[in-house]
Amino acid sequence: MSSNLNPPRLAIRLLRWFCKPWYAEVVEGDLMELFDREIHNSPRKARWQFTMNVFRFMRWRYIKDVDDFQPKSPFGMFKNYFKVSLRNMARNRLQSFFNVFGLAVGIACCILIMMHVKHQFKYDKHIDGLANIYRVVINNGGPYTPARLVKTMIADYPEVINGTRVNGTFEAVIKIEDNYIKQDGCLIADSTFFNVFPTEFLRGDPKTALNQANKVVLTKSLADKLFPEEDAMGKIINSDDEDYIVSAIVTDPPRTTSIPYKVIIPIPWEYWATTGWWTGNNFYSYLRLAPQTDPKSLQAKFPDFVERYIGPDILKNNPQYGSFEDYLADGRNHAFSLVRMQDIHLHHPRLSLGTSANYDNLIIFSSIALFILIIACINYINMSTAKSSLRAKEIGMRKVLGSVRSLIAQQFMIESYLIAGLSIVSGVVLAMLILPYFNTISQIEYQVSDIINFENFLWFIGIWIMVGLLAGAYPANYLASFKPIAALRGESVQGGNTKLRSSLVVLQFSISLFLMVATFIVYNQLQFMSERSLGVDADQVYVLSGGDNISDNYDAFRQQLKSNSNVVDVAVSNSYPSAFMGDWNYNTIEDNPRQISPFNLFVEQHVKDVWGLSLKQGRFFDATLATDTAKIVVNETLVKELGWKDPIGQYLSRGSGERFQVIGVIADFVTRSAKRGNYPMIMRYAPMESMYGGKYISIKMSGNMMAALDHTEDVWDQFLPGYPMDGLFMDDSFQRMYDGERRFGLLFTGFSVLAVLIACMGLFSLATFVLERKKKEIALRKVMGAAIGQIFYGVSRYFICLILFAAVISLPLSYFLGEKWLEDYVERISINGWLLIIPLITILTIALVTISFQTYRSAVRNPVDALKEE
Amino acid sequence: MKNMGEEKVQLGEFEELVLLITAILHENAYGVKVLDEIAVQTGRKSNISGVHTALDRLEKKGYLRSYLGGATSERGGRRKRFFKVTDLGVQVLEINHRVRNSLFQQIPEVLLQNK
Repeated sequence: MSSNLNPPRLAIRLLRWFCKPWYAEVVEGDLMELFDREIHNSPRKARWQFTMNVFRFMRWRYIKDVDDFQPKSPFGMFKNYFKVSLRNMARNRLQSFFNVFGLAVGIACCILIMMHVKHQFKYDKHIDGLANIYRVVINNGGPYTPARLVKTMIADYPEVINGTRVNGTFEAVIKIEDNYIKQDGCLIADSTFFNVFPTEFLRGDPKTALNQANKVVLTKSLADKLFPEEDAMGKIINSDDEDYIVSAIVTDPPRTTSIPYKVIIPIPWEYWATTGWWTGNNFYSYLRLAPQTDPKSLQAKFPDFVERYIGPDILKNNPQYGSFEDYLADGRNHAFSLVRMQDIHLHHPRLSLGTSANYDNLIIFSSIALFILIIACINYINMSTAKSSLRAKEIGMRKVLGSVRSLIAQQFMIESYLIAGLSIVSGVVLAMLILPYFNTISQIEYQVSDIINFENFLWFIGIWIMVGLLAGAYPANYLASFKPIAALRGESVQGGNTKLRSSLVVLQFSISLFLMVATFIVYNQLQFMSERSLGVDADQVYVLSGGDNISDNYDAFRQQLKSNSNVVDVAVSNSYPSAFMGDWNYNTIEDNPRQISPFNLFVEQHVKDVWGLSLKQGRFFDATLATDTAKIVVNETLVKELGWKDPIGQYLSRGSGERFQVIGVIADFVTRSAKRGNYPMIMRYAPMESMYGGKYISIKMSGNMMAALDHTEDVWDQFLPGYPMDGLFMDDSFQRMYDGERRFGLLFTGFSVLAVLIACMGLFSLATFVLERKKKEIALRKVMGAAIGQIFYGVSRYFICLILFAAVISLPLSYFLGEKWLEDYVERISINGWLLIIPLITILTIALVTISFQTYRSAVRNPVDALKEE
Repeated sequence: MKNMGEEKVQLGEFEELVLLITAILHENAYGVKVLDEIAVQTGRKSNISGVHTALDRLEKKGYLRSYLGGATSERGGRRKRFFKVTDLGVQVLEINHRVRNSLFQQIPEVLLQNK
């Protein structure tokens, strides 16, 4: 017979491959019969029908399952292992739940932290040639540099290809036609910005985008927001009475950028770049160096640079020095250095224009997350070996029936992989559940897609393999080593090493205790900081920003505000306590003038009452005295620092002949975070119309705050219709300084809750194990007449000892690290005994509750049950 | 033997057909034969895999029983799988028959005359 008269071989092969073997024969027979009948009419049609029919038999019921691989391959046994594992898990529900939950918590922590770390390491990586971009910093990493620096460096050093000055990001009020919009992410930069940071231009030309004043570059998202369904190119936007024409639209920088701009305008005061002061530091300087430039060799040229350009200016301000060498010899310093842009986000938080990460914290939290996972694995190991007596008979029986050690080990590995798989799934779900909480802590808007994506999927598989191996290897080996006869006879099996187990519990509780103490310390310091005496009366003081828009009508505005009985007083200043204050240089008038850099604040006469400052000596400013612009009020710290016995009447100079006479001394008040202590301060007099910089209007309210706020808004609207009012309460502003600490506290709370949870699971499994072994002892004691309470005490004593031992390790460490953390704060709590004892008592209580259930159960059990098992 | 109530009978239309044909073929029912007989008796073209599925389902429901025939020289020595109607299957057929009949009896004469 020619091959044409046979059914297609490929189809038969396919059928035999997928179909259950016993069925394949019957089907094959039937198909052959049909084929033989058709072959005489049309061989082609017969072959075609045969093949199609084979495909039609591809139904679930005919396809091979694991049973059909038996006994040639190990798959058949797998099904049994799987079934036994599931049954076993169902029988010990609590244990299985603890195992899965513990691992899931660890995995969820790892997933979130991993996501966070991956995100943090992505910062700025989108920039072309990132490795060649450097920031110039002054002295010890100061972010601001002189205006002339970039241009001069490009001209002087051939290895500097390009550079740009940048400042920002600011919040600005943009006016389009008659609508005001408050917009963040505003940046000012040189026209070379896009040479240093190339980006995609959707519209416009990078060469000319920023080459003239009054041009503005928008990002795509902002352009769409400001001019929906319109072409933003060439449109006019107004800010601070200046018109800017949209010259280009660029793609948005990614979330992971250290320069999160939305609006870029050219730097005003262009002449500063060529004729400005070298001693004023106002800009961030970025340089793009030629590839393969050694930044060290460039940096080595900076001292000459400083002497050549900045030296003369410094000497002019400090006439007491004959030469720049004298200045340096006196311990004064003025130096520049380079910082790699790729290090900024992780290692130089002060240099980032956006959010920054703390590298040390990343490492700490990654280790804690990993640690929690490892502890959970250890718990699994503990629990499965502790419960080994339950499996002894099964293992013995398997061995008697011919299973060997490696196969039994395999079985338990499958079991641990099953648990690990379940844990991964629950871990991912858990991670998604905690995501909102995690977002408030990390202050990054992570999406579910940051957890579930293809890359992470590979990670999950990696974690699965690791966790399954880590948790399963020891128990599998241990269980597989049982002697069949002993196991079947019911001889009590050794449950592994008790010492190892106990030390693990000690370790777990040390960590939990440490995290708990840390949480306590952070929250106590936080409370201390938010309740400390400020020296100003920040309650009910509402601070409006953007007061410069009202300068012309300020007096009328003030009168109008005060017309409401809930408004006590109104004052103007160029900054306010808890906001940024600039430090200016002043010199004493002596034979050897000393320089001091106090905070410099411009105020007018009402500030004293509105802020509730207390005057220690002399007087405050008086608007009726025209000479008060040359007078200053200083704080006590400044007096102390300069060692003035009689401060009133002393002079300070600002170089070039400007002299200011002290007329009053005020008590110190808090201006910054508790991390830093009191700082010298100078107040200078400036009425509204001559006020420097941003103007803040402080409004002291009393009585009905809502009415006062409504009134303020009405008055604002009356003077500046449509302009958004931007204000905040000064006490809120103080509280906001501690947001970082608050998030730190939250993270520690989360971690300590998890650590305590997992430690309790460890304790639970240890208790189970110990009680299992002490079963007979307890029974005998009861027979001999011990009361339940005595037995309870006897068992708990051991665990309390473990926890106290953990306390001995952990508390000194907690104290030491707590002190180290608090060192950063000038105003701080001292760690007293309660901060250590309360967490210890809490942990002891939780631990006792955990074990009491198990202990009670074995203490009340009928002793006969335990004794008859032999 | 358990007795079935009418409400317990669950049978698809094609399944019922296959069950009937298997009963007709008596000791000689196997895949291809059932397929052929369906064509002969009803003129309906069906599919061999469909027939097998129906036979399997009926067996699972307990209306049919199957056994492998001896190897013969036919079909290259491949055995046939024969099906027999079980007592339960006979009961089901009877119930179905009775129900159909009783329903048919109740149709008003008018309807049948005026068709």
